[in-house]
Amino acid sequence: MKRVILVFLLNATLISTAYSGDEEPVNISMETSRKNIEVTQVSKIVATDHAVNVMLTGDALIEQGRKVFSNWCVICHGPEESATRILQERYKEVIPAELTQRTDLTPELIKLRIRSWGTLTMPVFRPTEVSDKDLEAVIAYLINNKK
Amino acid sequence: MAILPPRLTVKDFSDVITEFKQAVGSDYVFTTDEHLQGYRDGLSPIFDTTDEPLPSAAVAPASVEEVQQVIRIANRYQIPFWINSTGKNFGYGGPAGVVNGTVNLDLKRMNRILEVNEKNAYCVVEPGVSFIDLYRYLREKNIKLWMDVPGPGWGSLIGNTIEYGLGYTDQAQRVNFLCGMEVVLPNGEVMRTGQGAIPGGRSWQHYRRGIGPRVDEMFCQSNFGVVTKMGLWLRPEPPAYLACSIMTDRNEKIIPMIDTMRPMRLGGIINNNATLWRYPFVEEGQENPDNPGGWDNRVAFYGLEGVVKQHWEYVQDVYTAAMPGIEFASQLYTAPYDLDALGKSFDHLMAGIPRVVAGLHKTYFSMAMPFDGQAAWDLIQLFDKISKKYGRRYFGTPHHAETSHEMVTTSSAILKPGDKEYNLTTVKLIKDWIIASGENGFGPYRVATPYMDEAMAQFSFNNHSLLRFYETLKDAIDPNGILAPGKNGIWPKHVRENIS
Repeated sequence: MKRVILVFLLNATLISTAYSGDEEPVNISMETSRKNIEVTQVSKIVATDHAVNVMLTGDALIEQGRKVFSNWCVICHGPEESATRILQERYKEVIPAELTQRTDLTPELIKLRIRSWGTLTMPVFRPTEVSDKDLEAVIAYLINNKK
Repeated sequence: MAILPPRLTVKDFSDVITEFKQAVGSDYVFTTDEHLQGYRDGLSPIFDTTDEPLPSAAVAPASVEEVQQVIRIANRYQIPFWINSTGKNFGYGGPAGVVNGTVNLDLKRMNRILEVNEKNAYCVVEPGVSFIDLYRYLREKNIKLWMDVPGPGWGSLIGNTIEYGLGYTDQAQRVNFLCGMEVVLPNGEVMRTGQGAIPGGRSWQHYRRGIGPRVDEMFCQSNFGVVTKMGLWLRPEPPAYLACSIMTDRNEKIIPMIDTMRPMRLGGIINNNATLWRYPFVEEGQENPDNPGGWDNRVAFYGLEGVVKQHWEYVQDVYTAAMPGIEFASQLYTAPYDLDALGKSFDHLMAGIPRVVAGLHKTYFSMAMPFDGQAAWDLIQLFDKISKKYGRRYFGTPHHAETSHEMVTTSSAILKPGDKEYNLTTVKLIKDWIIASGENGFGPYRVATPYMDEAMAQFSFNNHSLLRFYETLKDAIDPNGILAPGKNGIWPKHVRENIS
């Protein structure tokens, strides 16, 4: 049954399966506090949205990148965490296993790893997780943070 | 993106995107190749093959009202949505759908923890809240509640629970601790279940039913609605937590191990999901065929220090009598806990501390079985026999004592990055496994998207009367077939008519 359905749907809708790989222009504006958790400890549900948009550059951009890294990346790429251990095995100490210690990372490579499937180890992060602005921030953090 | 939803023209699709942007804001409708990569399942065995269903767009509402709006738009244009909460359902399909051209309804922006009630030990969350989010919140606020978590903690509390995800604590079959839902139905209407249907209802997260049938599980593993809120019972921090291991050295000893555990699980001596893991640990596919190793039964006790110690002594006595030479290990933790330190050891899982472990190259087709050693062994032997036809072997995957009356095994097969031929062969192997298991009286409880039709086909009693009942519901609730067509083999009427 499945095969028949997929053939029908593919024929009806598939125009092209090719991905161009085009990249959008970099936008350095960013929003802070994307984490919109609002909590009450009593029984009334409160619904608010704290999203704000702020233009950040320089140290503020790097600081936001540090927050993004702490929120999303450190669970695998922190000291002794699973991705760090995998990279330790892969690089045999020729290249540091912790991303925050690396001096060879480029914006293109960081973006590729976050936005593209290239390995069966690290998943892509969607724009609702790491926005384009947060992506620029984490790039700024990993490129510019004090090694 | 050059993919269109089924039955839509380029002009219609362009109009839809405009309407979606009006509903949720232009920043939260995604159509570029770069952004849509994250709505594919790069860990699927059919990734980057002609069988891979690709998304046409993604739309990310931030509120219930926005969910209603985009659903009403989808109805007007008869667009299929695939729903994801945090998109981390890896091994089972990730964020990706079954149908080519599906629009991904991404609920990650609905990420509020709406309530944590320490007094009555529950929380109310939106779908974008992950286990890690809730854990961090509980620790930051020093709220002394523990939670149940699956292996990878980045998944959604709602998504994992309504997909029947399991953890390792005494609340492991988490769906049984679900209390109260809010659902946006396929017509855009909002419904609350149980006591939540009473305006201002004071028992929504306390009593799990209302009057009449309890419908919460209609929205689990289904395509009947979008769950926008869920209540979940938590547990108070216990005064003591004892994490234990019971270890055997041979694969076939899974039979006495399960049979020895059964009366203690039934009798309430063992109360957690006492999972049997491969021991000593080796990666799947790396086992020595002459001796693939044995099992490590991970048991946890929660309660007063003296009581948990007494239970553990009893358990050791029972196992030693039944299986002489069996080995034990244990670690006692008492309040106040150093949970960060505990999170670095394997004991974190049974304490409900979420982590993420890299290495996701597996595809899952998880099976249900009786709480019976011979049944588990029969299934291992059956899968191994079929595997040999493909030049592979199967020695068993983790077995979970999820409740006192059944076990599930999170059956999986490894994938090889970039090796399409190997991975497509894996798909064939798994479909053979699923069909053979049905012929032998076993059924899956949760499968990845490429095997959903085969999984549902095993439930064929009386000419598939169960599936036909699901289809009757689907046609009544979702006549345009907009929500997750093909989810677990449940297809809307227009697709069924086209294939017939």
